[in-house]
Amino acid sequence: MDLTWHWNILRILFLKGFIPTVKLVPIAMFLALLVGVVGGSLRVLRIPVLNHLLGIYAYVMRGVPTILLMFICYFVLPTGRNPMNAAILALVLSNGAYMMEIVRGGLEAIDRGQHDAAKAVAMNFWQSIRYIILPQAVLLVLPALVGQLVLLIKVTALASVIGYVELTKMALNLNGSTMSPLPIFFYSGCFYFVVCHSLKWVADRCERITKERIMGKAPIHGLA
Amino acid sequence: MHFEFHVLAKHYPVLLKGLVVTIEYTLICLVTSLCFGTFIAILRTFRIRLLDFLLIAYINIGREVPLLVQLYFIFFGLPALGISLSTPVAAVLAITLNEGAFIAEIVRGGIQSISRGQWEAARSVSMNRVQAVRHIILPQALNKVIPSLVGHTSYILKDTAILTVIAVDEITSAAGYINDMTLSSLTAFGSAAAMYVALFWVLQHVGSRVERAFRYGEVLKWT
Amino acid sequence: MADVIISVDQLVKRFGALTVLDRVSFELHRQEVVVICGPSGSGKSTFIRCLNGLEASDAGTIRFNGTVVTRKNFHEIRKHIGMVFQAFNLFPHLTVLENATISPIKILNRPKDEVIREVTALFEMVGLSDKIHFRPYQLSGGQQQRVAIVRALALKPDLLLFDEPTSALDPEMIKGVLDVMRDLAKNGMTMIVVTHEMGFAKEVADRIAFFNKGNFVEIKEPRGFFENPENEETRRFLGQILHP
Repeated sequence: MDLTWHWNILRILFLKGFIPTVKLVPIAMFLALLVGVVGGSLRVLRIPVLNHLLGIYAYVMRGVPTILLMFICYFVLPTGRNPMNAAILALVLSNGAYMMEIVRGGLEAIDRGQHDAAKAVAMNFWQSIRYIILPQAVLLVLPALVGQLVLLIKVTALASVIGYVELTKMALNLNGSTMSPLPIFFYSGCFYFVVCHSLKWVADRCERITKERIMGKAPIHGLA
Repeated sequence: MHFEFHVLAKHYPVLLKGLVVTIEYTLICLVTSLCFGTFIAILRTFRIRLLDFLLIAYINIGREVPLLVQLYFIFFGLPALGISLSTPVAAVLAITLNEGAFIAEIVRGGIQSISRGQWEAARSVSMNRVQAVRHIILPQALNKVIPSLVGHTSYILKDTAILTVIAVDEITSAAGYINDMTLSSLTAFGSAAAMYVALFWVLQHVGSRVERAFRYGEVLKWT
Repeated sequence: MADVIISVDQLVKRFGALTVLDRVSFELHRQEVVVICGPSGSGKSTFIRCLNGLEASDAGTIRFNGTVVTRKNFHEIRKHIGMVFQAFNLFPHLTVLENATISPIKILNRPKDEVIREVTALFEMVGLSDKIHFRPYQLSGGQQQRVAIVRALALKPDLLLFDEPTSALDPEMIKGVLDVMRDLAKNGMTMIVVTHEMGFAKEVADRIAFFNKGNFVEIKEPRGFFENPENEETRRFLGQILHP
């Protein structure tokens, strides 16, 4: 097994595997974020029936394995048996639930005093959300959101089971034709590892920077 | 598409067998992951630089490569090295290595959060490192991270679903089988989803009982 | 007699079964400084929070500059009332300068340069001109509270409300904040201050009020308040608070 063979494997994995994986991510992330922000904001408002329904949605998504969700989206839900659509739907549903809880946590973590102070400087509801609450919530949950991005990338591997050809599926195919599982799955693992590890590094830096900026939020210094 | 109860009535034995298999794998992997993860975390307390480097590499790889890829690597790759593993062993190994990395980090966080004073106190009653970890540090660390660990059990449950790709007859495989046979997708996969949610519910309840026991047991055990 | 800026008539506020404000009536005149003191849980914080609508009352009327205050015009009214909180509540994601200028610029739509000029002058007045580009967490408690005062002043309010402004401060920082408040009073600002700082009250207040169990018990000019409290409750409270 010479260098050209390895290079070819890497090339195929990258072009026919990694690229399709990457294609899934922005759409799924954007939609999941949308679900998260809307859902999280709605949950904070505590509208009676809606809050419970969203709670059930979050609970079910925590309980149902993502691989099963992929099957459900492919076979049961009206996605036209399109692997890409089904995969994106599954990713959005499952990650969206986690995003929703993250956003909700961020919004609820904002100290009550901030709402008071915003009102005291004559902001109405939307102004206080826009200038005071939301900026702080976003800074607070940014690390968690990047963490969700990492999870999303890992979970795209499951799209392989419903026939979407991404990195893992490509590796399977290559293994089928060349019967050299060790280098093939090792290289696939490397792709995932490099991407996820870099993102984690970004998330850590984000967290450190925001901790420095938001340090001492609503401080009650001086109380011994 | 609608839920077809008659299909469920006819094929539920398959699902039940899958349920049993899922529960078996979940419990076994739970034990192995917890033990292995804790073991790794303990190894890290020895602070041997080379070992630490390898352990950190393992933890990062275990957490950042998808379980599916790790499973394929073990299931297809190890036989190529001459190591032949039965399917169950490969399955448990993959999940253990994957979840073990997460658990190692959780336990390590717990150990790190134990104040230096505890180490010094253990030293001062002439315990060596191993004894200190065993009698003083680890119990406190585990106590602190029980909530996180309990939370993690549901991830292990969900991981068992991935075993369907290596033909383990757990719930998801059973649902797949019913779907192939009857084309009644909602029935098949809907029932499977319901079973997982039910199992998740059970895990949550048992988990909070365990958490509660540790929270109050702490006072009784260690004073 | 100076005209009335804010008047309260039979104000009632309940939290569940508990009546926190029990038919409170009160009048404040322009340029008047009133200090409200009283035991914890008496309702005095709730009272001033009702004045700018942070708490909604269950019954009674509040009139500000002659207009009845309702749920609909609260944030209009708040453009003329400033508030300083016990916990400062500065906006942590903004600089000190931005904390004070954000509302005049974005909410009151005043021209940016003018606002920055005026606010910078205010910061100079309270002795923080070298800190205006810092973030709140970089300042001490006393400095943060002074920023909070400037933030309230930036709206050019007709009335300033203070809710225990020095209770969360270390002792050595209290004086700095009280000095600023004293200057404001001397320059004619209308103020209601909820506080336990009796020295400040004696020196600065036009009237001192004792608030207990949901209503005003006694309101008098400082001398009469300290030397001749009419009420038994007032006397007991003064006894506790003046002899720590």
